[in-house]
Amino acid sequence: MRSRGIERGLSRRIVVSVLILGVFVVVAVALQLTAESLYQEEGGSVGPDTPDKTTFSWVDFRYGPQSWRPYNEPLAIYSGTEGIPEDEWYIMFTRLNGTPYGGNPLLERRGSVKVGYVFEDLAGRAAFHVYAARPDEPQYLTNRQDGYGKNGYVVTGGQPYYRDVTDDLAPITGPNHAYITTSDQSGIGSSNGTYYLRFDKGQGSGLDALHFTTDPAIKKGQITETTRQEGSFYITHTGGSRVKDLLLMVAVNGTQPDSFRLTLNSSFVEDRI
Amino acid sequence: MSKKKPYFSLHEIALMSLCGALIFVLKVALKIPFHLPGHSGIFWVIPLLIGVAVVKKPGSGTYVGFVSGILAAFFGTEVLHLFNVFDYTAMGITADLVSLGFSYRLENPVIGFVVGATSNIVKMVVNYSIQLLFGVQATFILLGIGLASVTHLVFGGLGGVIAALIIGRLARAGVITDDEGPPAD
Repeated sequence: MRSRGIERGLSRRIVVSVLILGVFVVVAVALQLTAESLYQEEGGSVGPDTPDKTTFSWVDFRYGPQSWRPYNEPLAIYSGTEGIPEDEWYIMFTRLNGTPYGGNPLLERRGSVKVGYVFEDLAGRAAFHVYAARPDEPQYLTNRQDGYGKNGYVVTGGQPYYRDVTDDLAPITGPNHAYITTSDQSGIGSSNGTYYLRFDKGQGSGLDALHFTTDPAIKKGQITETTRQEGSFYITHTGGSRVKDLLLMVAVNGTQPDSFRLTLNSSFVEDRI
Repeated sequence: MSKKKPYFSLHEIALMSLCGALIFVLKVALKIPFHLPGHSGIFWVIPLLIGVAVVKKPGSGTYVGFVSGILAAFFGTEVLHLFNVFDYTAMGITADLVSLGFSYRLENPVIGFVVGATSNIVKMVVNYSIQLLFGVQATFILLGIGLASVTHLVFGGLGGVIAALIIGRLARAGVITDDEGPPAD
């Protein structure tokens, strides 16, 4: 009799604890769904999904001068070098429309993001790099620019580059924990997207999912250096996971004239089977 | 004059320390690319529950969790580095409290599921709390907390079930007994 009472008590405790766990999980899922809907409605501190500004000038470059870009350890900006401390780059970020996906076609449409660019009066060199967030944790990915699988896109301008005083710029804080704001929202009072680029998974991690390529069939990409002031490239994704919040980083290695313009347009392009 | 008996005997401390070290080894050595938060709970919950089931004293889980946390903190294998000692210790405290609540009946798979799932979830909560203290935007944490809670519950629970089956086998084989055995010190 007593053991039956003990067993009944134990069963009751099991039921209560399972209920508590269930309630916790339901509340957590509800919190996530609420946060997702708020994120899409208000833009919040993370920003809306699509950029509404596509033409940028020198004033849109908010960071620099610096010789590195965010990652676990500081990464060189000009692909192909191991980082020249004397290099001074000025950096801006913009969101891109869509996210690439290279995983299971049964889960999502496979494709890349095509980015078209037009430079006017680019002085010096411009380097493109990409950042995107992992879907299930606050960590970021970026493209590899050194070693096996390196890729990137660099444009050399027609104007000679020159240095000017840039008192109102400051380097990005970081390198592995960097708050950045994008330059792609226009209008008085609009809040630009704020992102917290975090890289905590160790050196080498997060470099092989995103790639720059001129041919979307070559998903692993390549390093492209060109003098073409107008052109396009693709940002591809490999691996099983998804990515979100695709950010394009544009860095120029000199101050730009007032006539400088960069026009970007981006769209998702589905893979041809 | 009778000598005051220590709370944990020497062989219990040795066993709990080994279990704590095994948690750390399993976290470091077994890297499975599930890309799901909390998936490692299916492994490290096993030595935690075995340590608690063998010793059957309040504080055993805390000790096991603390040892694994110290190892994780000093080797810096995880995101929070030194602060990982807190989430591992919290999971050990949770295993202690829940096991005590179920009278250490850890050979029951359902109870094993509950203990494992609760320990894994508490570890997740403490981890996120420390990240918030470090300044991570709450938005980023909230945007993933639903999925993370489900996966932590599932994998922690599965680890608890596996541990319960092992503990049951060890008990039937006589490896784990209810009496204290010969004094070791």
